[in-house]
Amino acid sequence: MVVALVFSQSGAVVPDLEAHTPTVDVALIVTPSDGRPHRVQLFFEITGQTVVDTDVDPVIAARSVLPSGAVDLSMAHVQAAGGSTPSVPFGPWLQPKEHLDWGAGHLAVPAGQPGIAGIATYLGSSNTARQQFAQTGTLPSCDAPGVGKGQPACGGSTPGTCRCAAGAPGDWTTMAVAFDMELAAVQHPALAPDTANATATANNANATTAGLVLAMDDLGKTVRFFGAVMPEYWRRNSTSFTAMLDAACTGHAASRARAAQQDTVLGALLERVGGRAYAVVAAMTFRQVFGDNSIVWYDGTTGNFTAGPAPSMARSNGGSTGRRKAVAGKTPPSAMMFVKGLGSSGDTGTIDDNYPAALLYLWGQPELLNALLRPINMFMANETHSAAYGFPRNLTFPEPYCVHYLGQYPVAEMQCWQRDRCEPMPLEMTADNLQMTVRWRLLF
Amino acid sequence: MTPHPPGIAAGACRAAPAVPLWVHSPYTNWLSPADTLTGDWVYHVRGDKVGSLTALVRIDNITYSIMGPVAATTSAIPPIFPPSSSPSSSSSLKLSLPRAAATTASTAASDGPGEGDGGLCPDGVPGFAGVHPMLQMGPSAIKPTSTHSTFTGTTMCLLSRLDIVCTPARVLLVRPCAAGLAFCGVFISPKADRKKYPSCRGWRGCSAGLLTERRRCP
Repeated sequence: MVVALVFSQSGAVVPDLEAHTPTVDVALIVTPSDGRPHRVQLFFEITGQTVVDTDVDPVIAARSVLPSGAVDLSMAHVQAAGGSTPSVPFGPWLQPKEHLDWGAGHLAVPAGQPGIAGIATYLGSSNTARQQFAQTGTLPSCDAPGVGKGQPACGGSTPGTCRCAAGAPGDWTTMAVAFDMELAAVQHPALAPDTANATATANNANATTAGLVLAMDDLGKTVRFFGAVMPEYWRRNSTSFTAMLDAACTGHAASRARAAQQDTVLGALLERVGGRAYAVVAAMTFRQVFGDNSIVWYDGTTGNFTAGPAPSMARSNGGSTGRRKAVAGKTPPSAMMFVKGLGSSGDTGTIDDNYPAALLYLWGQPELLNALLRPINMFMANETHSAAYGFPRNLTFPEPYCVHYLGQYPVAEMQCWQRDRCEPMPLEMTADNLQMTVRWRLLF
Repeated sequence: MTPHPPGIAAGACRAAPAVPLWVHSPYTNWLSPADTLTGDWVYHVRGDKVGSLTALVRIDNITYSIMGPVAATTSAIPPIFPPSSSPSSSSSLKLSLPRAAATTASTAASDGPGEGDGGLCPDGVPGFAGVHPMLQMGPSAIKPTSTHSTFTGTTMCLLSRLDIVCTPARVLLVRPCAAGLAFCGVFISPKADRKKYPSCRGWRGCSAGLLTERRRCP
């Protein structure tokens, strides 16, 4: 018996930015190798810890059925869910959160999966779910009382409390799914599946796949850039989250296949260049590069991107001559990409964080290189300036070199400026920016 | 000859320090940090927060853990991975990463023939790991959650083998970079450092198989 657990970033297959979605397809692929019949039951869960900043933050869970019949379990910070203390995703200005406490995490289970005899879902205590599954292969038939209604979750006293059962170790409010499959005997079982090759495992003629879709909904507020609250890129066409998730559920098998195809192509390329060890490291790096950025949609109208003062070269030319003339609203609607530094107090818009990945963007999706440079260059061109507001929206960049970064994720408003002018590194940042900008311009 | 990174002896198999699983944005960024997929919880990329993504499989009424140290933390669950009662003749399950998981990270549990010693050196590749050893499962999966080394108070899942010590001095410890060149110091948290040593600002680097952690004080 081979059981493969595959996470596919099928919503972020690089060459296709237009298909970018906040989804990850998960497949539990079961392949018998002994020819005998088996009953196989599978369990997968995501707990509330994934949608809160700290483990004591409260969550609210909900379930619904999507138009395609897929079951959609969701969980959100009580604030993001419109609880008693409505909040915004952008916390204290100078204290960026290190984890999400805005938006909703989703676990959706597509309907009509071939080979699956039964699907059950559950909202409630993770310990309860795990224990019952381990003993019986099933989930509780009803969600925990109150879960999803803003009432005490898992017997706690605080509405929507994330931690269950008085803090029992490992026990949390959870979104769980169980699959049941009856594997018939096969007269000629496949040869031992290649467990090192997910694509081959999935394509095995005797394989049965249980699929689910993980998604994160930023609720249209991912990044704030000088007063402009920017939604996720996939929302640019006013697509609803429900419609996006439903499409991901109906197309989950196809999107996994597309991811596997890219996997095959890129894997072969990497292995040819640097051997298998290099390919494995590069594959994980590939995932993490795209995972550390948020791709958002700038609609060209939000914020104050009108007539700002001309970019200053004051220090080099006396401040009165030689300035470029700023053009109001010159940046058209487009994608923007914001990184979050892992070891740098959560800095965003950081030139040198993304510079090492420039070649990957150029190879896979050059527009992403432009997307990360665009907000940086817009700020330095003073397109973000608005004299009608106070700091930072009236800030103009006075230096003759490239800024280091734009703020602390998810707020890119130079909130670091009055502290230390955002740690200027003139030579490195200017060189990085010039190299990336020139390379992108040579392509387009 | 298959190349391997400089500074790592040929034949020495290495563990990738973490495998990104549910990775979409800076906040939705969950990785598996342990040597086995069941050896520890899935962690946030910062290494300071657990995300309890777990998976179990029940084959002919015997339950096994695929992801997360469920058996170690939920005592009510019957033993998972009974060493002598695997679904077939084998006493352990093996997991492996696909050849090149550009967009897919994969694990597999198998009762079939093993893939070599711990699945660490498939295809005879010397040097750096071709397969993530965290993906090997076995009786060790029921051990309690491993205790990570901490760096200035923050759990650093990938630094568990590096044992870095921070002092206010200019130069910090230099230790063998057991986790491999490509991942050195990624999870160090200057924010935490600054709280402890506000006069120091750090930078990190890795060369010749050594993790170097240096501090520049004013």
